[in-house]
Amino acid sequence: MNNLISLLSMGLAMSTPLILGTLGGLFTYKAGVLNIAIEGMMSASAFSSILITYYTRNVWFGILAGILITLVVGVVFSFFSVTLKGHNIITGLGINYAVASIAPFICLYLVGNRTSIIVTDLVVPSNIVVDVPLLRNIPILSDFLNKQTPLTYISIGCILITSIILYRTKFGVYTQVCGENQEAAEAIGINVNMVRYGAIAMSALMSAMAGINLSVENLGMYTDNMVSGRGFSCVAAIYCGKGRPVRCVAYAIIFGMTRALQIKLTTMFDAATASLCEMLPYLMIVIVMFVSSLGDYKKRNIRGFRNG
Amino acid sequence: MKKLVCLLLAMIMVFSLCACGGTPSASKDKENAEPAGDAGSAAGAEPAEDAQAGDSEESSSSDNAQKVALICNVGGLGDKSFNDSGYAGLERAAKELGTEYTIVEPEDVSQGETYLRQFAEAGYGAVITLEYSHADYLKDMPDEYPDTVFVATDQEVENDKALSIIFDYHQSSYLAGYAAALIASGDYPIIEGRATHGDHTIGVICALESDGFHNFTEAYTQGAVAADPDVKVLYDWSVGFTDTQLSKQVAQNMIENENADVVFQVCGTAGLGIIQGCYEDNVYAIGVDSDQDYIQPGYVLTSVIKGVDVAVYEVCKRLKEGTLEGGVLALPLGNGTGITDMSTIAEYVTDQEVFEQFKAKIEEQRQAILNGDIQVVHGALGERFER
Repeated sequence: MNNLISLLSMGLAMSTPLILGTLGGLFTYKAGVLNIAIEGMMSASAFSSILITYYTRNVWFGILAGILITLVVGVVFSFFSVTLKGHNIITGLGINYAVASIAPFICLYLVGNRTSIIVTDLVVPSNIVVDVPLLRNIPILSDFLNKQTPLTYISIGCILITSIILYRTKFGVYTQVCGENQEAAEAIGINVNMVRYGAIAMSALMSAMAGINLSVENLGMYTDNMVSGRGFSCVAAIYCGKGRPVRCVAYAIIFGMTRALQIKLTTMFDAATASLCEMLPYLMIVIVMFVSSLGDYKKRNIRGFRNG
Repeated sequence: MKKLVCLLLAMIMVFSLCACGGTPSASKDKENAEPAGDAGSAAGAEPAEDAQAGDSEESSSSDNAQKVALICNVGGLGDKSFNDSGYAGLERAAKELGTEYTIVEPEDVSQGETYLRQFAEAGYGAVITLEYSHADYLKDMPDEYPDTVFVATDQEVENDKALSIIFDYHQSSYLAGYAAALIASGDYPIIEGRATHGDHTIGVICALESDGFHNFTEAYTQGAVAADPDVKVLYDWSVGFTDTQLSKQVAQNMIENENADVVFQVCGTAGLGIIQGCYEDNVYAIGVDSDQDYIQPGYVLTSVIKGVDVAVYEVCKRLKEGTLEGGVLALPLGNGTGITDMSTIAEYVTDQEVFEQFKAKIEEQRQAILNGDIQVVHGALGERFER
């Protein structure tokens, strides 16, 4: 039981950046832009928020700067992939590589080493956790849901916000139209480029929060390449969930939980078996993809014609 | 407009390249300001320029026979670990022996090979490489350039004419494990209220699974068992070198759910997350490669260090004395390798008497290893520790 609770608690913490990144990526997915720059956006905010915190000695300035700089990265990505109509994969990769190399460059010249900035004297992650009043009284739930970082709760709230924006606002509907049929959108006078800029900005905002969760909330430090492929897991989650917010988030949580499960299992086995456990998150992605597409495949066969 | 942007971008690229190479070499141009030290200023810049510098120096190759070149690994200077340590060794040699040197930071492995060749052609007396993957090139190169001694660190080159420097860090890992198990047994509460699980459990977190990492873990386990036969050692082999959040979660899982009192990090930059996790959960971490005690003072018990600086200094010294030749230079415990003297944590110790006993116990083990009374398993050679 204790093991299960600690697994859930750890899994939730590991899922937070994935949830945020996934929700952000949803906007671009709906707008018809394949955003693989989520990785780079997360890195940009993780890096800049800590860097500015290091200089201003104020966490809030750091967080603000992290969000603003990530938005700038988003605008750069939009400029190349929307205005100049560059291929999304190439521009996205460009953003990822650019951030990955600019960060150590700045780090080396401003801080004096290329791999890490530590501000644990200003940010103490263990003090950031939130003790939610109502939740703390519920016996089992409080054990893993209570005392998470603020952005974990915000990320759960974001699921609702994203659904509302996507399905209940003009911007959301326009976004979907742009993604589904660009010509139709243009025909009825929607400024497709502006809508896509907006969607990418939303994506950048959410990715910025994911990056801040990683560097500021969890560690109080930035280390080189600390995002380590989470952005790509987000892209995978979006495609597994076929662009529906709750389903996508469910996949993001599955990925986070499997990572946590792997951590728990590794300590229990010898080195060889533990190496096998390392496959778990990736294996999970394959299995989940298989199962989710199997359902659709069957549906099609029963009705006897393609309806998807 | 377009032309202007192109021009601007081109200029930015050119200047950033200059800036990249310029600064690290500027600092050591002080030491070799004379014209023969040209390679120093060209070192960080374009390889093509460097080739020219090499050519022009061929005529004066005899002047270079007393010079040392250091090729960093891809991590580059500023890693607070391997490369910086090598640089420190060169600076010490320059100060004490008057050694002239050149230091370069290759951007990738193949560029490093170019440097190896260029320095040899320029007639450098010793070319030290910190890059692990250069061992292959070094198989043949010493035969082509008999006047230059190539030095490889942390690996054995299959050529007698090259000097291979081996750090016996399994011995220091043994001491780290011994210290960790003493703390985890609960008998040595050196800082009141810290690491109080008393559950005889310690952990070690590696970036991945390979013989190189077994070199740490097997000896660590052996040391721990020697100190406390009931000890339980937790392993993790999955965190990689960069994922700080993951490594912190792994460490906190060991501490909070498995009651580990000490966690040994062997995973480069990701290890910073482990040290942070130990700090938050109020237990001890053990650092690796260089002295990491200062990262969270009072929470890092000690660090397992590789004395690259000692090795580099030794090479410079031998070069000056004219005794530098190929073979294997093993740096045993106490000479370059070891654990830190715990002077950082000493300032936070609440029970001096226990701390002295604690240090004495470790010193006892150190002597036993030096005398050969204790044979430490050598994981890098494929040996495994059995309880």
